[in-house]
Amino acid sequence: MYENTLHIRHSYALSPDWHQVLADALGAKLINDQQLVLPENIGKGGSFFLEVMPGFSLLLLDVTFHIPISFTQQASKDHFYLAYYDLNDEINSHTVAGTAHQIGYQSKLGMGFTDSRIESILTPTVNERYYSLRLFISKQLLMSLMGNNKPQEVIETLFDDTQNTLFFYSHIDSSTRLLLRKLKERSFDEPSFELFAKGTALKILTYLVRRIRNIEPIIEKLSPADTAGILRTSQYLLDNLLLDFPGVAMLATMAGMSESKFRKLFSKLMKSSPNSFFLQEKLLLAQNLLQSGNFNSIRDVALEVGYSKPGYFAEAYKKAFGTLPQDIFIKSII
Amino acid sequence: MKEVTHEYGVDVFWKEHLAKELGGFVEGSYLKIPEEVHSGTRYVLEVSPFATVLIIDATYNQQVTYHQRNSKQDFIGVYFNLTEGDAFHVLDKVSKPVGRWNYNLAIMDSGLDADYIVMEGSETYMISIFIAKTAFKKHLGKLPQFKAVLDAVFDADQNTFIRYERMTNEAWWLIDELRKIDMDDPLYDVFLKGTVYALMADYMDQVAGQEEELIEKVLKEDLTAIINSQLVLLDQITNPFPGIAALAADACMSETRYKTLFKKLTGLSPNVFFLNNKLLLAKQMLEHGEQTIGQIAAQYSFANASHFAELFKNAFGVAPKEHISYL
Repeated sequence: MYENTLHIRHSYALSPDWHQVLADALGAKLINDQQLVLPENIGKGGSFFLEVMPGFSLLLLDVTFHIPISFTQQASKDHFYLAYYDLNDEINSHTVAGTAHQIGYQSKLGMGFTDSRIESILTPTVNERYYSLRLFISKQLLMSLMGNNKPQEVIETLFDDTQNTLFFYSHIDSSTRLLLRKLKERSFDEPSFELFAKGTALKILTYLVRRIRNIEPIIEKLSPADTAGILRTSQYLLDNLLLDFPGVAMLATMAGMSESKFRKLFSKLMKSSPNSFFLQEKLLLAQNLLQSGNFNSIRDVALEVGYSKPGYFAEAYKKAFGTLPQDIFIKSII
Repeated sequence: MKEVTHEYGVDVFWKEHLAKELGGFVEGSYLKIPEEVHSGTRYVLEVSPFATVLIIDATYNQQVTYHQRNSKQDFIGVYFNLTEGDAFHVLDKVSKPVGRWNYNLAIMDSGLDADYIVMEGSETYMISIFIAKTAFKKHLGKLPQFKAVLDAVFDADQNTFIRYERMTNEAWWLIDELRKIDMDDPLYDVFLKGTVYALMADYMDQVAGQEEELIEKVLKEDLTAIINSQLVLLDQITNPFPGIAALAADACMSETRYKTLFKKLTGLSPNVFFLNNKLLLAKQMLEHGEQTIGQIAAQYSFANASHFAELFKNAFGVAPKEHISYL
């Protein structure tokens, strides 16, 4: 076994040269200038990179690492946007063996939209398949697709990085999820893979732009510390969905900023207020639990996620999803 | 009645000429054609340096005969044709009916002189993709059955590349999704390019799944019987599966022969063809959001909501409930 984590530093670009640099750093092969194959001692699988059209490229990661590894993506030279989609179960719930009531939940957001000049670190779990699609989109292309549902000057401010940082996290939307599932079933080696991947990336770009168009613009420039602060609080909320909402004052302190700034930046990044973000995630978890077959009654699920009155729970659930908990509840067989 | 001689190509130099021959003009990506010829739209987009696509979504107000005479021999035309009404390809004086329920996918070498007749009153939806032979070879060359014969297939002296086929169910749904996108939105071009790549990938999968032939060996009567049977199935898509015995009797074939032919011609078993279409229609209805999962399950004759949910999850990888909540 390796004692130490292998640290790799790399950066992304719209053109494929960076992929060769990464392959060299990993001692990996690059086939047809597209497909990186990991050496066996490091892991299984690899990555696939392709320019789809001018200003638009796709990177697909399908890897299982055998050793602890961490990737630091350094700020890239050219400026473009990065959308990533991590296709793993967004809510994992598992029962701890033998102890019927101890259930751990882990919730995370599968989709992120960020800027290529923001540094980030990826530490994949050892011996676990990691499947992720990343789209690289030039600023010029994205701006040309914004359409006219917002005035031109609003669009320009939105994309002006001296005034604003375009950045958000979210769940993967349904249309995108269906396409990703189909893509995941295919091997990089299939003859039609390149065409299929291009088709998938272009359609997902369409869905992404539609989402960006609907974003209420909150114009604000983000410092790396601000971003990190907000992400810390959102992860804290996701890790503590069973508790009551901790309050904005506590979260603002955690993020190291004033309450008013916290509210504003949180809404910018997460596309909803801290409170409604928490509620929505709590109810998504509840939905997952209702269908898990691990509970004897809806009341038990309501209690689990922190509602003492099943009536309130049903009301909140109905408001969020339009149906009642009993419509989807699967009772425990034991 | 109108007669038009025109050409296509990967470069779009032919746009103006075709528009003018039809009595119209070019405006951006659109070819504007006068109502007296056909109503609807013609749209041209360069997908990449190796492929261009032409969309025709039109109702013909008079009969038009097209004579395709290409000056460039360096591309292959792939035509997905959803015409309702009468349309024919004429090649060497042999005419083949094309359109939604006939040969709805044609792949043709640009070196061929093809004539195409569309009758008055026909409603056409057609996607024509012009692909450089170099790119076509590069992709199809990845398929084992093409590797050995690749050079011969594309050698003009030995062979002229032409195939008439039927598009897959998957291709039909890809096109259906494209038709719902607003053509005036700048995203249309992105989605159209994505659809073209997806259709080409699907075509490659289709070819990869065919065991032998690069030549058609199917009797016309058999083909008509299976197409009619597909129609019969789609007509009763909300009912339970009618059963192989009834379908085979309807098509005047033995059950074994019916199943074999259906699979050969559509790539799917009758049951899977029926279920796929059912689920895709149910999915659309679900996305409209006006009916509950239970109501949709009942409408499409699934045993119950959880049976529907299970089949939905098998087909799309997510449960219907989950699908709606992230819409």
